[in-house]
Amino acid sequence: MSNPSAITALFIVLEKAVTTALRYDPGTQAQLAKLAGQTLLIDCSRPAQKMYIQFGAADITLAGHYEDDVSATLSGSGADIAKLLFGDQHSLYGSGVSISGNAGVLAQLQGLAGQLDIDWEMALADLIGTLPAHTLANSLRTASGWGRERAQGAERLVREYLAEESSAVLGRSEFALFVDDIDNTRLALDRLGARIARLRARQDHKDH
Amino acid sequence: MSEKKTTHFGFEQVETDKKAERVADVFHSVAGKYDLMNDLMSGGVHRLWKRYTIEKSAVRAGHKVLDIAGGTGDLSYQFSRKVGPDGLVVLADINASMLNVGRDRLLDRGAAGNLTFAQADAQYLPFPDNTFDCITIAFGLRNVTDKDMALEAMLRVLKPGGRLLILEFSKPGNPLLEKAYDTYSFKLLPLMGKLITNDSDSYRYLAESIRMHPDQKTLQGMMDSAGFVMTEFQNMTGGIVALHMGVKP
Repeated sequence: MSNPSAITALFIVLEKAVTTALRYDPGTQAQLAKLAGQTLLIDCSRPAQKMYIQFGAADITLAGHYEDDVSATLSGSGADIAKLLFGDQHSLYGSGVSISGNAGVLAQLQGLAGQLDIDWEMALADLIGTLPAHTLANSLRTASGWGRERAQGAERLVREYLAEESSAVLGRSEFALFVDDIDNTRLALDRLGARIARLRARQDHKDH
Repeated sequence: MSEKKTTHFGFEQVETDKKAERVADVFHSVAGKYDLMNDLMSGGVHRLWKRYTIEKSAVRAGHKVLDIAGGTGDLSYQFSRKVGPDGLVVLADINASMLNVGRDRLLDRGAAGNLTFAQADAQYLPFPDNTFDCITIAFGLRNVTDKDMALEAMLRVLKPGGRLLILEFSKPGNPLLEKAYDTYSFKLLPLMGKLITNDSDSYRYLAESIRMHPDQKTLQGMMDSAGFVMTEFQNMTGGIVALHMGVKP
């Protein structure tokens, strides 16, 4: 059996992280209130651990032990469950995860996880004050925009070099032309095959 | 001439009827800084042990809970939130100083309405039979003079199907951990007590009383003898602490 002290400590850390994140995303927090009173059991097979998520009006409580009825149970490996909850997959098919109980709880939770939009500037402001937080956030936004532009520029340069200068790979337009040519050739061959078949049929008819 | 009955007070033997008084002196002395010392002594881990106890209690809205030796009210506060306005939590402690600290602390945290306080001895619980859905005693049983008598009293006031949870220091399973724990308890703990509360004797007693407390299996046997069923225990932090559970048939 897993160490209750360590598991409890982990749950406290997760709970605090989620509660703090929700405080800086009032939209998601308001949506979460719709789940208030529901309990989701995550029955993880690898690592073997049960985690009960009890939804409150503005927070969640995590527990390893719970004796009331649960709204839904999600079973699978930890990696598969995380992929399902936080990834783009919207179907359980092929996910390695099974659900019993009210699947609507899972759908709502998945939606919430997908739309989580934390106001980092507000979180920073609570730590260092409004003005320094705004200045820092602006700098970070500028740096991040500059970084994104440079990354996109570098990608474009590499693409052009490979396609135009070194001719190591085909450009996108050349490839499209090539594919069109193949399509046209295939159509012409199909027509030619059909004509040959028709001529052969006519010839056979004359012979008889 | 009749010989007076004795019992242990830490490693010291004292007359049975004097133990409660001596324990009371210890807790009068440490009450004001009990929480701070608990955090320092356990590195904050006592909060994890208590939270796990609350999970295992399975207390829900409308339940009646008795928190014996509830001290500064850590468990009572959480229970008060769980049982809601239709439930009841009784914070009981034999020591008036601890009870006062607990009551003030709970009121400061806004816990009221479904909480009452009782200065009560665990051996003579002043409640009717079959009253509570759950009883907890956290870090208190080892200070009780007659533990068997206390267990019988708890069984009496529990409702049939109600559960008892005993959170208490116990015996580490690993000899190396036990050695390190002994060094910590008998060297570092009294030193911390001296620095923070200027009272090393009280903290030496706490360490000694832990060593004199029955180990996991013995306590489980005592619960069985008192009449509890489905008794079990869960070691925490390598057995430094154990949570015993039992149900009234």
